[in-house]
Amino acid sequence: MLARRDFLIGVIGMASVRADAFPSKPIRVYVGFSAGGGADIIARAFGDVAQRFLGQPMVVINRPGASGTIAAREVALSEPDGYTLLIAGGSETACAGHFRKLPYHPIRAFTPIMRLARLGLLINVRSDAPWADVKEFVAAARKEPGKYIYASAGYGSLAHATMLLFGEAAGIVMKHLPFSGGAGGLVALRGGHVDVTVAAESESKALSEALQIRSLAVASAERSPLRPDVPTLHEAGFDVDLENQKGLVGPAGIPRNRLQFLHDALEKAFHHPDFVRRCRRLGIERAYLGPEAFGRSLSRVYSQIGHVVRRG
Amino acid sequence: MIDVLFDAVVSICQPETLLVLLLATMASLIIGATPGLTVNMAVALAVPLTMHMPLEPSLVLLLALYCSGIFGGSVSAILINAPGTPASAATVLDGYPLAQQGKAGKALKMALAASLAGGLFSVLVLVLISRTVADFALLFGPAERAALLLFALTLVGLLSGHSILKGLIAGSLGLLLSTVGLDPMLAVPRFTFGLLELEDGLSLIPVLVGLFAISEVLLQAETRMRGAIGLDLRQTHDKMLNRLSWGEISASARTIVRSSLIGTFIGILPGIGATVASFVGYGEAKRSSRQPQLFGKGSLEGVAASEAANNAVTGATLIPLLALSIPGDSVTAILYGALLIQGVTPGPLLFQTGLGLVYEIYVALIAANLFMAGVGLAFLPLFRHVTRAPARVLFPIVFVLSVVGAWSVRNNAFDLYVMMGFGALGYVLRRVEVPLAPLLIAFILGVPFEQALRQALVSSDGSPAVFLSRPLSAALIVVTVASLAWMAWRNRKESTA
Amino acid sequence: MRSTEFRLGIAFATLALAALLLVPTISNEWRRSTIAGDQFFTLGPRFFPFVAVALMGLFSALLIVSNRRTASRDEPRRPLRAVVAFFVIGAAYVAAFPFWGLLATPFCLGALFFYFGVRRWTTLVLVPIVTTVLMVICFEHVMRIPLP
Repeated sequence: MLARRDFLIGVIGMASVRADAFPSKPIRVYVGFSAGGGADIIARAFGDVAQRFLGQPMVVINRPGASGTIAAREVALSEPDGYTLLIAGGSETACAGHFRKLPYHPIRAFTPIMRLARLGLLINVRSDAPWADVKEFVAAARKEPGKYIYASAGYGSLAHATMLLFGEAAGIVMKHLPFSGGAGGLVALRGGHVDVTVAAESESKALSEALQIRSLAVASAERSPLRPDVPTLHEAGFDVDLENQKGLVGPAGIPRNRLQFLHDALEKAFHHPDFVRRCRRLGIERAYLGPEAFGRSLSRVYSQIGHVVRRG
Repeated sequence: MIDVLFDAVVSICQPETLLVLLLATMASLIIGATPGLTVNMAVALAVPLTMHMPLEPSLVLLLALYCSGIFGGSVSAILINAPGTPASAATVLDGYPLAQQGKAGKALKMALAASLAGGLFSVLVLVLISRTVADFALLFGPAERAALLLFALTLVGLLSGHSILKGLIAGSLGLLLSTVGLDPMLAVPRFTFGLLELEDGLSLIPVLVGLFAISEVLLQAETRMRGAIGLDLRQTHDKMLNRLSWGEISASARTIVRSSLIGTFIGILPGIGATVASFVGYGEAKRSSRQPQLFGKGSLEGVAASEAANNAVTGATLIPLLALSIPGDSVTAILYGALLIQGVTPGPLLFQTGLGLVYEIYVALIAANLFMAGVGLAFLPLFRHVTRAPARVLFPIVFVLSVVGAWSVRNNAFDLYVMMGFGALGYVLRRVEVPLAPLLIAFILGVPFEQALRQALVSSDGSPAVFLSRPLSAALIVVTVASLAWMAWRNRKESTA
Repeated sequence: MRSTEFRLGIAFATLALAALLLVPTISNEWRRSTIAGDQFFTLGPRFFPFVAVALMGLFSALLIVSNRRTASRDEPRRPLRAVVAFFVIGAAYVAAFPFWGLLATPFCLGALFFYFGVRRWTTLVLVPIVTTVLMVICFEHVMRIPLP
């Protein structure tokens, strides 16, 4: 491994002599989730368009596992030459670091380049649940702490973090049943074994009709254009602003000129009609943020979750 | 309903998909017919191939390998007195004597007819009942799931393999291996030794490629690939002897129906599998036959009984897999992994959100059975050569394919080490006759079981009474305890007798 | 000499014991967790591994006991050398694969063929190369899976 790193450094040393020739080889985008998953779909839809502006192919590499942290580590420890990027913004940067030790710093190890999309996190109940809105639910839960049960996609997932933030903002205590992925919680909700389930927009949408499920609120700051009927937690008076973001980052320390080149080329691809059309077809909410804004957003989410996890 | 079915038929009948089906059927007949190359291995090797294939062709590929591979096993059972897959062991008893009498063609045709009938019957049952089972299971809570998984795990441990204790040991080893990784409730790392690669647990595909493909190659290496393949068969071209008449089929019709029922029932129960089904089907046919004295000396009915039963398992094992997300034997465990890779999670929810997909599976299974019959019939004259494949060239290629396949799933070198490790483990366990199926199934069901168990206890504030106060979980626990007691009692009786 | 079952029982019991010693390496810090909702968890992460180990120990003990008096049979000795050799060649290939990728494939195939007694030069050279080329075409071009 060490020998390989040395070798890479050598190659980069040679490459940086002709820094203006960037990019001179394919750019690899790591995805921490399986082929066919949300992050993978975005990476492939974008990669096909982006390579026209980069002048080099964009190769998507799936390295799934450990909530995306295996791919994140790979990129965090790679050379910051702009050839190795990561689809980031989910658990691997937002929350995994608060629940266990990671071999990289979820924020400082990366150079943010651009945000591509975001996914709302929805708070769902059964259609026949007695609460008309979030406020009524909070009132009921305050009366009986520890009575209501919520399901999440896993301990330390973004869904779990959402409920922790919501619980703290609303002053309620609930039991937590972690499932493996979002679907299990939705089924448990349908069967009446939990009272609340947090799930990503895409999951809730597909299942809400079949399972007789209703969304009380979305955890983002603004309503989602895909589900304009669902109010935000903010509107109900609870100060929560959390969403699953998907954007491109590289390892920390990418030279400024390369970062600038990457961002400019990728921004053109972002606005290209082909990418716009693909996103509409796939049900992805495009949401651009530039390097600084994306970086601020990532570290805000990270410290916000750290705050509730540490204080408890 | 009808339009969903129509869509499914259309999407399976795409030219590429049909081509994949044809190739897969041919490949699996050959694999099944080659002693040493088992269905498990073929399906395990095919899983990485399906990674970047569209959904329909990969479904068709895997299901065709499954169905035709089991039939293919009967070819070498009949021709060279060695079952190509364990499921055809009972076919040897009458198939080979028939071949010795020069009636190999007749026996093969009967095996094909019986396999087709058994296969289609079980698909029918699958179509009829899985929706109901799934809708019912949708209401299961953590307590019911825990009880159901306990029942499945117990049954798998008790019933697969010759020795109950070895089955149970394999099952508990599987449970232990399933605890590697982040704990499913609190995400605490267990037995990961600080390796990020182990946080999701040992990944399924390298484990099963190791257990089934690598271990088989190692077993073959014992003989330095100079195995006893290629026993000479008395070649007969006597058309009269090898024609299968309608009269002979209808004489075996009752047997075929009975064996199909037996195979289907055994297929629904987790852990028993096609091998047991074929022996039970064979035994029952012998018991109720009008000519029991012919059994073992070349009875067509015997071939029909065994083959109808083992192919009837194929559709039926998909019932617990699709409706309850419980794989009943090794092959369905591998199919389960393949479906996950395709982004399809088997389970009750599938019938709500992916009904089209469920229908595609039905149609694919029917198509796989029909292709099996067609291709099988066309291949009959060629089978003689297949059973003499040069093992010393074949198995190294299988090995290299395993490595490339396991790599392609996650592009991860660590997976390759896992695969080699499990190859060695599988080899050792097979040599000491510890069954692999309970290990693999417990490995897959361990995490959901632990999660359901602990979820139920969170909901009940830690009181274990929750498992007995809910009627369904109580009933399942009673059945589990009863089957344990019954097995123990029967075992005692056998050892004192 | 004891029966195979007896020795198998001992082997698994040893394995269970070794695993039992590893169970306490699992962190139990969750009990001190202050994260909201964690106070409702009951069984910790150590419980289930412990159950699995205990079951394995129990069944191995039963296997030992039930075979104590069985007479030993003479098992045919099987040639382990070929298996070990295969495993070593295989392991070398696996170790080389992530770095050299498919370049290692024809050599590995050739070595295995040679070891198992293929002596025809055409088979030794042509089959590995053809297989490798077929694999590259199949994976990289038909299914677009990047191989090293």
